Amino acid sequence: MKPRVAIFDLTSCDGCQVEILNLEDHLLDILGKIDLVNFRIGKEVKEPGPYDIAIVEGSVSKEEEIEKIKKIRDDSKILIALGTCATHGGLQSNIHFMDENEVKKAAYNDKHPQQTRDIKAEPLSKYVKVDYSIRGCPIDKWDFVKVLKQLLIGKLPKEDNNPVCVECRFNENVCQFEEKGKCLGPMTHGGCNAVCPSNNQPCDGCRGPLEDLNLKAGIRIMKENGVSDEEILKMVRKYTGVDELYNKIEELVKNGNN
Amino acid sequence: MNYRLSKQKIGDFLASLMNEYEVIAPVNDNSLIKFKQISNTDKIILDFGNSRYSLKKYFLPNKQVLFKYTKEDIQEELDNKKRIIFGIKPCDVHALLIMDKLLLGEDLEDIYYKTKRNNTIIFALANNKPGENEFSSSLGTDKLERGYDLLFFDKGDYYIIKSGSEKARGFTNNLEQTEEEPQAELNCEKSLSEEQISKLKTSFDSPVWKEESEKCFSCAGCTTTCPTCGCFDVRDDPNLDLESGSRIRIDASCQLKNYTGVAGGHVFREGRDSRFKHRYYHKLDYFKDQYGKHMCVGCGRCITNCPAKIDMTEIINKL
Repeated sequence: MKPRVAIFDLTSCDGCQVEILNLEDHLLDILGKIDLVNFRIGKEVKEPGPYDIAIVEGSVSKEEEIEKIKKIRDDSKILIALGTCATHGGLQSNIHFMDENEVKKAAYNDKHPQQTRDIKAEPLSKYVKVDYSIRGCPIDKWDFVKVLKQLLIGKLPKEDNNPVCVECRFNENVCQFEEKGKCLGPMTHGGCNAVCPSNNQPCDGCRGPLEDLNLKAGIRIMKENGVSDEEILKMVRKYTGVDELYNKIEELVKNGNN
Repeated sequence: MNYRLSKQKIGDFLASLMNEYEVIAPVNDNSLIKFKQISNTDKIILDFGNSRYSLKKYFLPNKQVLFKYTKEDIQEELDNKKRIIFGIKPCDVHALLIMDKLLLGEDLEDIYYKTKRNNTIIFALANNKPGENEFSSSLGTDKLERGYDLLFFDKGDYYIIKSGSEKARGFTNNLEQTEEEPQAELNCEKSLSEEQISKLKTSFDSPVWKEESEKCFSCAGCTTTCPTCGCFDVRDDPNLDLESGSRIRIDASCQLKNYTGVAGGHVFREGRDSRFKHRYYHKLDYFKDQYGKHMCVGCGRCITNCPAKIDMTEIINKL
């Protein structure tokens, strides 16, 4: 019997789900292997659980989403976080480092601030156990296929834990540290085929910090290159600032000259 | 007997080989010198130190399909493309001779590497200009006795060409002969002497490793660009039918934590310092003990490509 797979979304832009739809020519092959019972942006009929695999995009940013993700977890054997919002809170997790009222005002204006019972955007793992994370903003669609294939042959995928630099060197790029004086590539999970540096943009860390990161070295070099404290903090916090590996970032940036 | 070719004619010379061979030569790509396949010989850079990235991609690609499998059958993927690499510098030829020791050993032959190696003609370019951070002159890898099919010496308006193999004959038939014996002298700013290197023998517990490794990202910028780093991982990539697929090999690096991970979760070189140190010992100590020469050829790419600007020669000097 084909496994029952459901794709859900919480607070997000749907971009990662669109990446799945972008698999176009391969979608029929994928649908031949799974029973896709829930996919808001791709399917009208939605079936209730239980599910073999639930794939969830988006951060938990509203109170009702806490209940929603808990219910999905209860209904599912395997839960996969899809994209940076789900793995790290994403762009909206910047609210952790900003004035909450200002953010609300900018997002909702004065007229209807009470429509949502919003909470600070958090990754799924804050509330439920996540079995595997497909990283990136947006995800790499081939990463999704790779993970799905591993699950279909009965394995939980294993991550490489390589920094972005590895694929950046494979692509024979100009190093963004040299070019722009800043890059989060050496500290960030690769697997994206170094898409930003390969297009002459420094990595801004959307796939999250590596467990093995050398934050002190990164801060020291960026500072030596004249990158301001504010800019370093902004880069690190753009997508994945709530990761506990970045807990001491403020302190390190302020005292980073030793 | 040597040969002489006017510099103006080098483009025509290489172009005449393009029917039979894929010609690889140094070009300027996005302000970096890189070796690439060329179709237009006007783009070749003739006066350069060395390429930013090594040439190992033509022999041991960073990602390579070894074979494709179905339930019934496997089909090996051998690269039989005939190539000429023009402009390869002596230190990089030495790097190939080192890779040969590892991958063309008597008891262990890597058929994928061997096929590419046998199908590739080496047109080396004698050194007169060091690459960025190059220190090959102190290691003796700035000159070539063997390892080339043709060796080009830049004499200003013309090249003197030495022939170094049987295979080379076919390329020199139409060239003018000359008695001129060329020489090339390379003066690298950086150096690494045997005396300095020998300090490794007594420095395994030196505090330098820990101190210096604190600057290191463990990003593998050094190993991925090193012409003699050839470690790889092998994995299967199933197709969506889950019955067929490909076995691929992909570059691995001793600088990454997962490299020494084993079943059960243990990691042998967990600390950044032990990974950092390992590269120095492998390149400049262990390999020589086993094979009689240094694995490092002094190309300097690990220095140039390090985002933290860690300099191998400086580290050895600190011991």
